[in-house]
Amino acid sequence: MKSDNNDTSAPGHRGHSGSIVGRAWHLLVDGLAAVGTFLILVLMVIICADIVARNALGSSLPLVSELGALLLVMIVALQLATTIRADRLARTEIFYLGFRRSRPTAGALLSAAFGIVGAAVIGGIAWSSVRILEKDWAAGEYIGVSGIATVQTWPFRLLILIGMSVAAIEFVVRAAADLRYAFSDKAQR
Amino acid sequence: MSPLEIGFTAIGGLLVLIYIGMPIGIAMLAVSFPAVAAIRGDAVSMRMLGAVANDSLREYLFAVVPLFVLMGLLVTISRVGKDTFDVFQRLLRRLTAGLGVATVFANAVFASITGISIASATVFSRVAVPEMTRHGYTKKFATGVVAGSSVLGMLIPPSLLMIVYAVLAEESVGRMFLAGIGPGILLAFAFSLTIFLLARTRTNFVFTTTRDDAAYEDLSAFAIFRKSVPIAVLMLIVLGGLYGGFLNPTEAGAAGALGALVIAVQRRTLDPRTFWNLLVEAGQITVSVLFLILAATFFSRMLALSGVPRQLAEIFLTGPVGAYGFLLVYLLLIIALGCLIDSISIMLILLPIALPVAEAAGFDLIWFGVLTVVAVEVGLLTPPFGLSIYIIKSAMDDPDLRVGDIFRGAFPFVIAMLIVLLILVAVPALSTYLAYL
Repeated sequence: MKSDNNDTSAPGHRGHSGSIVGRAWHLLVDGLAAVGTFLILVLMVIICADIVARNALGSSLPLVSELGALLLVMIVALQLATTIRADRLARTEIFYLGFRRSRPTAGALLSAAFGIVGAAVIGGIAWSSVRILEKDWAAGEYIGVSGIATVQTWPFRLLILIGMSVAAIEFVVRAAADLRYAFSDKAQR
Repeated sequence: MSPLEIGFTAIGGLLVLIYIGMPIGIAMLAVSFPAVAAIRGDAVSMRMLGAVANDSLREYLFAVVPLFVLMGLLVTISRVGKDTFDVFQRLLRRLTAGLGVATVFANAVFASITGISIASATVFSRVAVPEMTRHGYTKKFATGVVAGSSVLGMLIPPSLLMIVYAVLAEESVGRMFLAGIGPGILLAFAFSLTIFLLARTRTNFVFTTTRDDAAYEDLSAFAIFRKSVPIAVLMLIVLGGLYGGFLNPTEAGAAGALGALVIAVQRRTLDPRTFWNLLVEAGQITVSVLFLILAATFFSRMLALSGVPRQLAEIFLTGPVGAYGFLLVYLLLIIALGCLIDSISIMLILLPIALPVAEAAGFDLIWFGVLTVVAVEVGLLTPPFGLSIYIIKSAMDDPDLRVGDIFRGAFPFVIAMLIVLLILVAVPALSTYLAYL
């Protein structure tokens, strides 16, 4: 939970913002994050509605606790990419910050290596989520009480899968930017 | 390699990766995946990874994280903190170093409506420090008091650290919240005593002048009442709701966030742009915390497969070290790590290893959790990476104020925390009495 560490990215870092593909990618990441952000409000509202219903009308609203739990996983999945881009994942800076400042090229290579590892593990999560999505889709998995109110889980699984895939690709994009920086003229000086 | 060797290798690898600056969650996943694969095969490891990502966070309880964070951010901008400080300033005016003590108690009350120390540190460095310097306190002392008392935010419920602990230890969040109250009040009194002693014995450390000529703003009884209402309402919603049995922790978070939103809107401190930025901020804090929890879940499953915690329990508990030796080593390790890593990461790295040992030692896990949280919080105040200190530095935006001065100002409070920690170790009832009532 570091407050502001945007300064860890080297200058000239966001190399992908120029092209159309780059800009579209940026929009996609921001768009998913905006949906995730909005879901926090939704979460607050449905839980408050549930409190009112339970204390005033005497019965809980259906689905709220199951839906709340699924929404939370989605908030994390949808905002993961933008958190990666803002460099807000917790890390220690005792070695890293000084190293990047004193050895820009080696520092960018280290950062690229972190990006590749990140892409691999988040990619692994995305890959194994495909099977879970297939299973939920095939079995018609749902939450809620049948006969009162139910919601199929596969759309949530799909969004989790999309969020994780985008996050993995964001790691690749950042690693590519680091590599480009490491092998550019700027770093050679 | 035996599973045990694999487990220890993974822990070693994790420490190296974290030291060189790999994001901690990524590092935990990156060492755990091959370790599980080596013990049980690729297919199992892959299936476990997917299950952890899709289902470990699928708990209604976790919704408490974004909601309490949002509430904390909302009260930060709605001037509720300043009102609290004004009230205590008026009440404690006649006391020696009354402003310092007022800061501590205003923080303690403010802590009961926010779960994040960042909120307390930001608010009170802007509210209390200028007022204290105006009345002849040194900047070093004024910022030190704010830094010290900001840790109350994570001890007095609601508290993000308590939530994280409760999740990892599979204890009830409500019970952990109750357990924090006694130690929180004890710590607030210890801080007040520290301030009082410093003001009497180390006058130069506390005051720049011996005479305080600056005028106090006079508040009528009605003004005091009016300023107390919003915070009292929020306290009533969150604590009253929780302990009156009307709300579970998640619902208390949602109701508190809505209440804070209403107060901010009614005071016109919130425009749509600011609100959206707060939501984005709440989202990013949530993701970084929950992603760590996700990774720690995988890490602790890997450890369980490797048998490392069982082995450690055997080494500590049957050897000459004993249960209390283990506790001492554990607390010292937390305080040492606190100089390097942020609070939540420390808990997520150490607890999967330490909890099984604590359980085997027969410790009460509620008590163990309170000790963990207090020890972790010492790290917020110690160089080189005391998070509270840097938050105060950036909130103050004063080029004359050096980070080293804030660390020196906060040092007496670190000592007070260590003494309180010893008392809490010696008297478990302080933590457990309310929790098991």
